[in-house]
Amino acid sequence: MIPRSFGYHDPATLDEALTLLGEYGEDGKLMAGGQSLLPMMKFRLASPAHIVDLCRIPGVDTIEESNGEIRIGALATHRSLEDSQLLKSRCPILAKAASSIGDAQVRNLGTIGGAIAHADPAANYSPVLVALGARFVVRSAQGERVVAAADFYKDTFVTALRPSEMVTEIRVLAFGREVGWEHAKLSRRASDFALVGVAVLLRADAADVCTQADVVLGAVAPVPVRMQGVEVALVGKPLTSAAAAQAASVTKLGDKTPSDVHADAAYRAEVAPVCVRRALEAAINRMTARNK
Amino acid sequence: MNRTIQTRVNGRKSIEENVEPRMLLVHFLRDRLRLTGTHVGCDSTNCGACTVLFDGKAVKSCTVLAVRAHGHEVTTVEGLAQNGKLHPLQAGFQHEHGLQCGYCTPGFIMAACDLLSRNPAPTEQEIRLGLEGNLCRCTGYHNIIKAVQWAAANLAEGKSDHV
Ligand SMILES: Cc1cc2nc3c(=O)[nH]c(=O)nc-3n(C[C@H](O)[C@H](O)[C@H](O)COP(=O)(O)OP(=O)(O)OC[C@H]3O[C@@H](n4cnc5c(N)ncnc54)[C@H](O)[C@@H]3O)c2cc1C
Ligand code: FES
Ligand code: FES
Repeated sequence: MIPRSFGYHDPATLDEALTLLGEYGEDGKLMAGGQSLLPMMKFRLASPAHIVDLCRIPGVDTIEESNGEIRIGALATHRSLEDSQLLKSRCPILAKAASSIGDAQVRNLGTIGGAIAHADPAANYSPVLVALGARFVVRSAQGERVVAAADFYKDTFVTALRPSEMVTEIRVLAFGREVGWEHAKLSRRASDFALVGVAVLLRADAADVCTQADVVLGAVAPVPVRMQGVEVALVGKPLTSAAAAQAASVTKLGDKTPSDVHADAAYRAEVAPVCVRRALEAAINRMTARNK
Repeated sequence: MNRTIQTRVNGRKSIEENVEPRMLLVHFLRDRLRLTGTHVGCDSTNCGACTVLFDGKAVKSCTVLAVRAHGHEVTTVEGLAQNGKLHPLQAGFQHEHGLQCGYCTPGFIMAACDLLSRNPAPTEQEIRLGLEGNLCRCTGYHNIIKAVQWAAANLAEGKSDHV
């Protein structure tokens, strides 16, 4: 399978890339790792007239912390997130989410910016980034804006990005051992996309009474969905496995739950509470381990 | 517009003219450079038969544009043996009977190269997880795991001539 012919551009700077993207508009497509775009082009599901390849632009792949905020360049690969010592200690949920994307070969090339822009409902990062309250820096030749993760995902494969815009940076708040966390997904085979993805962040007071809960599901709707009922059920309760089970039972999927050959909506609705309970338990275990 | 691309493949400098931007790296290696050790299995980023090292990291060459290799290094299975001596991974697959038809083998070996460079002493579980991007329809994987363990042990001893 060979993609349709296209005009190929591999600019050396971000500004050049943004100028090209502005010029080509709907006819142009950025290529980051190519791990979603190139398969689509080979299947002729996408046939962009122009490819603006980002592979020769330096410096957009760093992972740094300043003033409690972690800034991840959009071209950072899944592998570099997975291996990042900074993320492992200051935002381990993102390192874990990166580590279970596809397989080693895909993680060597695929980027966080590409995954975000691709907006596959079953992708790993999206529920995690919504739970973290991440913000995405979006740039065009005209200027820059910052979009909250919760406002970024619009529909299946649809985002708030305009054709002339590129995600350049992902910003999340760092956290330490005071936060209980988990990212997990139920999938058919190890390297497959999530049938249900779960991101959990829990905060508690000194007596392990929950003060804040963020519980977001992926793959059960066109965009990541916050399980407000579960969150409300947790806050104010001591974080025990009984509390986790009780809160997880409140998990409710909406009427946009997808059905496909791998799992119909009824199956997803059945397993989602189980995934939530297990993720809550893992997060609680991490949190209680901090006291030891 | 077609391009001239300069790469270093298996340590040798290569200059190829007139490369179409849509040409995939796997076709460049097989059809232009005649390095047919890299196989095409699924042609859809799933099976790993086309795995090569790109600047030392395993990638699926059916899902990389050849023009991207300009200025970079590529290693294929043909580049592993040194002075007629098999690489420990190649020897391991032979020694532990890690293949039957052999179609998947070059991809497994290249993926295992990346795995062992990151983790020279992987557990069985780490090998299974590390090679999840490669599919084999013959062996049932057990002997592939043993082959990688054999290579890890022999690399640790610093031996590379044991055929
Ligand atoms: C076999 C396989 C298994 C996979 N399994 C998983 C999985 O389990 N979980 C998961 O989450 N993902 C999975 N993926 C997808 C993977 O995460 C991709 O890396 C990711 O979706 C796309 O990133 P990329 O850098 O390769 O982007 P590309 O493929 O280059 O681009 C994807 C899209 O985003 C646009 N784009 C790229 N970068 C930017 C940017 N900075 N700003 C704006 N637009 C941009 C492109 O124009 C294109 O439309 C898998 C992929 C494969 C091939
Ligand atoms: S041929 Fe490239 S992954 Fe199967
Ligand atoms: S040995 Fe035949 S596919 Fe692996």
